[in-house]
Amino acid sequence: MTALDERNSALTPRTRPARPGNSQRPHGSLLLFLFPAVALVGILLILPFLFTVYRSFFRDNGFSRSWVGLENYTTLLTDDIFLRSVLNTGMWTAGTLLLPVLLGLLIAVGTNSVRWGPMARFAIVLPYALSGSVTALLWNFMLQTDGATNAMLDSLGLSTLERSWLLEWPMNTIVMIIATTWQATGASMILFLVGLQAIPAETIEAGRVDGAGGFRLFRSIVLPQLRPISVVVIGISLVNSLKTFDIVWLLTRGGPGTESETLALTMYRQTFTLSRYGYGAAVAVILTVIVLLASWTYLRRQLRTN
Amino acid sequence: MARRVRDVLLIGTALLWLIPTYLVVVNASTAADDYAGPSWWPGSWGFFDNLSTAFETADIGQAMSNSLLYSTGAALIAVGVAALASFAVVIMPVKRPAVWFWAIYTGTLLPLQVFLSPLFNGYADTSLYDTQYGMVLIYAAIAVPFAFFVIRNYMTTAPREMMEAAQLDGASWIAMFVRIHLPLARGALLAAFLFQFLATWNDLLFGITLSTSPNVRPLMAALAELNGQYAGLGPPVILAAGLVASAPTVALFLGFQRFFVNALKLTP
Amino acid sequence: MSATTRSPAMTRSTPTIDRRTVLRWASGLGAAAILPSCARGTLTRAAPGDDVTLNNDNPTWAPGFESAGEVLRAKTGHGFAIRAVPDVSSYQQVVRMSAQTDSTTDLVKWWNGYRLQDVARAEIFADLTAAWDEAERNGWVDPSLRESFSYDGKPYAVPIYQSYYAVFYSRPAYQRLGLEVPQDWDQFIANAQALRDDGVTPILSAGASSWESLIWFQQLLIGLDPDFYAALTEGAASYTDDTAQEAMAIWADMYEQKLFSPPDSQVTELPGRFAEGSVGMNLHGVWNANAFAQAGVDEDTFGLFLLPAVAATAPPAVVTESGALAVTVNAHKMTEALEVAGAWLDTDVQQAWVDFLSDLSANPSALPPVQPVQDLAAQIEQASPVLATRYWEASPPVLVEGNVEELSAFMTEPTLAMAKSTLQRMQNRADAEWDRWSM
Repeated sequence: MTALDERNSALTPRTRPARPGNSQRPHGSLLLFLFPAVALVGILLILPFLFTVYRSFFRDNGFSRSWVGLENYTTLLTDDIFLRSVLNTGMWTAGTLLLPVLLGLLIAVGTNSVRWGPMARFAIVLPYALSGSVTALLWNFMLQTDGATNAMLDSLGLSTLERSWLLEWPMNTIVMIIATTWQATGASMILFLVGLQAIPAETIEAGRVDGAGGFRLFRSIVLPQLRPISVVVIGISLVNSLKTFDIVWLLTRGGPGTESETLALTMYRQTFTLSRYGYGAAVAVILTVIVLLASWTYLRRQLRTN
Repeated sequence: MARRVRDVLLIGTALLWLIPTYLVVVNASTAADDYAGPSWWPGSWGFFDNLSTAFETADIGQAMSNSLLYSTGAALIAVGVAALASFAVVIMPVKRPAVWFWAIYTGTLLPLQVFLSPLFNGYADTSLYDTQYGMVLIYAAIAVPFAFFVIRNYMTTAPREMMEAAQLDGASWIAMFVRIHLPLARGALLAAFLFQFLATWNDLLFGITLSTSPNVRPLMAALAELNGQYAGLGPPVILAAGLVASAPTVALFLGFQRFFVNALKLTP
Repeated sequence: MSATTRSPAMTRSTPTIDRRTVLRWASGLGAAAILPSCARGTLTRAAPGDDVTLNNDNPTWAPGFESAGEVLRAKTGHGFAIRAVPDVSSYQQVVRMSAQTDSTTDLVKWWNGYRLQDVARAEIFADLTAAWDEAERNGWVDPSLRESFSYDGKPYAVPIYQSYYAVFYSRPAYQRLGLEVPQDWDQFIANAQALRDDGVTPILSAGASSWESLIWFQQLLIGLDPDFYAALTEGAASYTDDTAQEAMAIWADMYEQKLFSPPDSQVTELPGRFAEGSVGMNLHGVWNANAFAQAGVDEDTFGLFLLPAVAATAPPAVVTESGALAVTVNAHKMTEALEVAGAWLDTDVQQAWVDFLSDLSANPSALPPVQPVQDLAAQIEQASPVLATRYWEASPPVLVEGNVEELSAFMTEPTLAMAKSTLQRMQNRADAEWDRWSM
């Protein structure tokens, strides 16, 4: 690459935006730095998505297609199953934004300076490493009517609490959110640990000199410093919760009936079980719009401030 | 007193978290013949028999080495590519960094399941179908947006003084990236690598759709062979194989745990 | 919170570590650059030599296909190179997507009935008229089966197996309570009640989140009136008709009497639970006998019987299920694949196949070495029941998938009111989907 250009432009102060005339824009290196990421994402992710958008205007069975305009979308918006999916997806978002994020933060901060911290953290992270087939079997064990949870309640004399966990809505969605919390807390905990690393020791020390300690130190020094990483954790949780698929597919397949279906499941069922590619594509487009809007609303402010 | 309460709560949570894992271990150890529904207490010992059944039925060894290649390769590529892009967006004087941010980040917002069909067709047309190269590419692409998000946000916290020092040295962009920003973002790079390694390791959907040969199939596809709708091997075999399949990721976490702890000594 | 007193003296990483980290990174990226030399799949394209490729959704069948392939190789010169997609839903997609590309296999496993028609009309399978003619000439197959493998008058697949829906029962449980194999419906119910009163789960019935919810629905319908079942699945009768209402009422009543397990039970538990005698019975495809064989459970543990008709007036009837073996139009080795399809039903090939499968073949001369299954075959031969196509294949796929979900929901709330509304929704879906099907 053009080493000379780079050297020159490197001398411009970092303050952005560079004023015109003040800097030569680093065309060559910009390409080098941005191109790989944009190309990978563009070709392998955005392109198939554009095809999906196109497909959503057709009736398509995988072999032949005919143009139906917006029909898939209008059918969707009057479909009870779709509305239930939206509701379930909302529950998932609320639940997984609250539980794994908060628990991950508390555990990261709480264990970061104690001797047995590594052991406790390992216990939390372990579920995150388990594969989908194990997780599915495990939670079926726990939650089926003849399963381990009910057996345990029975032996503790709490048989009145026994129930068919996965068979009643909204209980099935709630217990699946708990299962996800069990698995996902480790991930947010690790991210918060990374964030804790970025806090300069002097900042904490300064706070302590000012007489801050315990909860006040946490609230007024640690928490603000964790802001950039919190944005990541919340941003990612938002996306993942809106796209919730795996655990529901593995545990209830969206059932009984379609009661515990999320948007991603509706999309999958329409596309792959029923081979209605056009309709499934329409669900995918709506899901993407929802995720995009939610992320944009949240990140727009957050990104500007850091 | 407050600290005592905190300790009790944290240890309690950790123990609670271990209960389901314990259940997995107990049932993975039950001899397949004796299995009659989930049990809290070990009845018989058949862990290694279960494991050998699993290895006889599916080519788990080959699949594991495939997955090791995909997970390492895809995560390395993704983290490298994402670090470059983060540097461009955060440090370099790029016009409209927000547009570039969304161009890359959008990749993580899309519902992946729906890509299976266009990707399959694209892969079949370009002879990427059923190749290790194709698998690494798709896993890397899926991993980029998240890695980019983590690293980008971390880079915004880089202390200004160090960068200014580098600029006074007259370092090139590449030198600045390699000498200053990569090392500074080490925590984020490692976390991103860890997450993407794990995501690739545990993927099933792309694995069974975009590959068919045993020398390309990833691990989760091989495990799924034990668990098909008609397979009669029984849960203990699947659990035992699943536990072994998770061993590398658990080891990775243990390794990283040391890293995080060491690094954390820097902060109180 | 974090009230420790560790020295804050250290700052961030030192330059020497930086360089080492960087080196490690560079080597990592270098390794990544080598990736383009990664391996290609060994099984992507045509199989080597004279073998033909076969894709299916059940990886555990591979040894059976291999041994049947050995016999085929002796007869036709072509054996099998097996592929599998270990998930039914992904498998269907892969076949649909690959059928029109060069990445297809020569042969694929599919389903018969409407599921076959659904894809045969997209012209992705080859015409197997010659194979059927030969099989019929040799007496390898009952000609009446041809219809359910045909679309528009031409057959597009041959049967992979011929399974029946029969009751698996636990011999230990039956012996403990001195029960006999039931000869009529009342005796069957009495057996279930006896098991229940003894604290045994009388009938394990899965289906809360799977296709298995259709099993008792179809069984009660054919037990009342097999003709009605046929008319219903062809769209000529209504789900709200009396017979359907009656079937659902019987089903609800059996739940009311606590004769069924919770619907989220799993059939994978059966071998162990039969052995310990904690489950009495399970109505399922006989192919599940293979699960018992794999779990090392033998005929001392389980037996099989045909469920007697529910109504005294109804003729004996049994639900049957066949996998389908089809040749794709894009097959790399079309001629060879057609030869293999033509020889598939040969008695020797089928014998090798059912020796593994523990299930019945469409060729009545090939019997598996499993006593309960052989006994069942004899029972079927003697009673010559009406054969009813499994619900899964008996109506357009979208209609079936939707209605199966309704039945799963019913199983979690098996009341009469729910039965009524379930049937109404099933009929509404039938109205809509039959219109779509003929479009």
